[in-house]
Amino acid sequence: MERRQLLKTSLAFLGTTALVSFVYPASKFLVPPQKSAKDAQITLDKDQIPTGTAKEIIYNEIPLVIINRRGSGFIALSRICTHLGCLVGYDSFNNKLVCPCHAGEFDLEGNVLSGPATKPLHRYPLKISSKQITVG
Amino acid sequence: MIRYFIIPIVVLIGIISTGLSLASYRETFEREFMLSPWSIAKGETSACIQCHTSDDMGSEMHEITRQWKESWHAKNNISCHDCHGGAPEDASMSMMHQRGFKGSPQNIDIPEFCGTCHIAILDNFLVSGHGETFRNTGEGPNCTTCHGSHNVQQASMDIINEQLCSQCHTYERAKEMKQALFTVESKLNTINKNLNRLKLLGIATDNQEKSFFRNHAEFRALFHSIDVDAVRAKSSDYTQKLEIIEREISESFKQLAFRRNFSAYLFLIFIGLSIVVFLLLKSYEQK
Amino acid sequence: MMWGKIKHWIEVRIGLEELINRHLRSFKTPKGAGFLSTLGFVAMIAFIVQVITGIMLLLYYVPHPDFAFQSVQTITNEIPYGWLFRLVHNIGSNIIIGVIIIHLLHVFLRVSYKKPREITWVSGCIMFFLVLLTSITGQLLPWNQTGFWQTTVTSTIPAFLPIIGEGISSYMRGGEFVTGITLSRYFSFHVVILPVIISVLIGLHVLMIRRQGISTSPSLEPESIETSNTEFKREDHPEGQPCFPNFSLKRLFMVMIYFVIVFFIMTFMQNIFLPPETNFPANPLMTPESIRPPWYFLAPYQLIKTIPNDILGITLIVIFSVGLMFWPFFDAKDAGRNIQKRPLLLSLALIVLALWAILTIWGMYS
Repeated sequence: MERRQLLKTSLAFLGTTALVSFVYPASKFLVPPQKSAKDAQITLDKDQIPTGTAKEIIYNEIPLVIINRRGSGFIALSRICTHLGCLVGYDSFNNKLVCPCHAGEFDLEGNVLSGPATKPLHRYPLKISSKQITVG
Repeated sequence: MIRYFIIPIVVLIGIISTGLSLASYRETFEREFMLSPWSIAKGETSACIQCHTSDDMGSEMHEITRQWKESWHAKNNISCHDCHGGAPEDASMSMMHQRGFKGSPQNIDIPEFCGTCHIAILDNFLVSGHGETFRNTGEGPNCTTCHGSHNVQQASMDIINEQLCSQCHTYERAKEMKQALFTVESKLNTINKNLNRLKLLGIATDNQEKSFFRNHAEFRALFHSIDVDAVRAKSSDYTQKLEIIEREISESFKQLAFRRNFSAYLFLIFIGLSIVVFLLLKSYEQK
Repeated sequence: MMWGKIKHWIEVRIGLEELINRHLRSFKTPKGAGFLSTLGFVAMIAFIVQVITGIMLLLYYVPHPDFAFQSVQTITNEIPYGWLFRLVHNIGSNIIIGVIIIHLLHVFLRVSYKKPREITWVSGCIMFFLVLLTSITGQLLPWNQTGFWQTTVTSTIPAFLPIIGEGISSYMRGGEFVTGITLSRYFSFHVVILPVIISVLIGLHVLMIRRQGISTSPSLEPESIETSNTEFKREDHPEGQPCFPNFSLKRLFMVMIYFVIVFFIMTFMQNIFLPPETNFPANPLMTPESIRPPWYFLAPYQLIKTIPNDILGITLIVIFSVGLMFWPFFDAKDAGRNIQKRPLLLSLALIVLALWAILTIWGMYS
């Protein structure tokens, strides 16, 4: 009888441990990780980017390009080409973004014009005030 | 009685009697069932390939298509029309100007031909000793000298070798460049291997793959300027960027180790539980 | 003191004590009910594990072709312990089929499908096929190369049937090719329709077993009850073991073994059911070099590959499935339940099993 009691106690103990070993991960699972990217915001003066030009910045370790498009205003696009990851450059003469690795071309909205990429460039939100632009 | 055996006998007869036709049928099965209509068999539907592999063409043409099929371009779905222009889906327009057909480039036009896609490499090549010599004299290395034309493989340090580089000058210079490239190139190799390993273990390596490719492409483009000092100066830059990727890779390996440890812990708990339950059961049965 | 009060409160309203006594303590299970007899219970627990881990995954999964693959990657790599639930779901989906197959074999070799247990057998077979269907539909959901191309192949197999074949394939896929429509369809089947039907069938199956009693093993407990043609008679097992704690502990032990197997695989070979192509997002323009179905489908797949006439191959499989499902009605009515006294039935079972094993192993290496 004593042995049985010991076994019952160990069963209870191990069973509770096993249960906790699932409940703990499940509870952590239910809380998705907070993206810490919310803090960094970059503010620029509008004068720094005349119409028809672009400025390359780094936002949260991601290279972005902010373009002052003729007639459509400012836009912030990721420079990471959606094909294999090279950084696209702004071609002000032809109004497009060109990737130097395999000649992928994107329009100034980020959409693919030609080349091996299939997805558009990632677009970042911009807050535009009278004198400044804020990314993020 | 017989009814018990009907199904297995039929199945056995079916299998045994087709044993002889097995090999050839499997090919047919795979071709008709598995590979059509959903998969686009690479090159088979291209008008270019169809003509240039037909019996009307000489062995030269067959050789070209054969070489292309083994190339890195072919593995990435880059076909004839991507470089030479023309329409691949329509035989009548396949070699027409209107569809951008360029034909084979003249020797002097080769860098621009490849540079239609490989823009950064072309830019660096043109300012290099190789590029200037080539433009001014028409002699010297162009892209195909080192990389071939149709049988282009993935570039590696082995392209810099004594046989290739001592055609115009001594190998000493090339050796110096190869040494300058060494640190960054070996880091690139290790990172590539590790990223492939991690990918097959289920880790999301998308961002690291893009960062790796970006650095790798920029470094290779820089090499084409054939400027040893520039390569040396930039090496520490690239080393730093690559070290960021290496840190992330080691984080991923740590995460994998944690997962294995946690699974092992759960495994042991359940082994313990099975033993306790079994002993408890025995104790009740002995009563 | 507090505990006693709660128990008393429940006792007055539900009469729990009497229920526990009748259904657990005094309830007798046959003496011959060994560990293998608990496999049905293990299968049910495995199903519940799949449902729970499935719900956890459902919290973060996005059933759209543009986001599905990434959401699964997020679960596996960014959500804390997401990998745990994903791997349990993945490994569990394979183990549950193994458990069901062994359970099916055990019941067949016990000849427990005979009168009055035909309903139990048929509902069990239907559940088996539905679980296989759940696996098929689940495989597309991560939208990786493996799932996409295997779905393309499996949804094309019905097309070989004359006249109705194309229609069936079209309905399965929601069109001519595997697209987002297919994903939505498979998602709703995998998450709602099939689990609900399976749960209902589990209820029916368990109800029948409780009502009729667990079948005896004729070699250990002689067939004392003559199965009557005219009235319902429940078996008693006066010499049997008490359900609680003896049989319950056997059940608990086998459930623990199930978990041991799952976590053994997760520790030492966690990618055995996640081949390399599962790490690449679905690419409709590139077929991977070898599309191979999961191990439980290798046998029928190898059969179809071997027999030159596709229709014949598929018909054979259909005949076999129908034969299996309605076997209680094909079996000789007067034959007894001791399989050792029925050499023909035993050899039939062993031949089919051997064929299945040979075809599976052949399929693995071809």
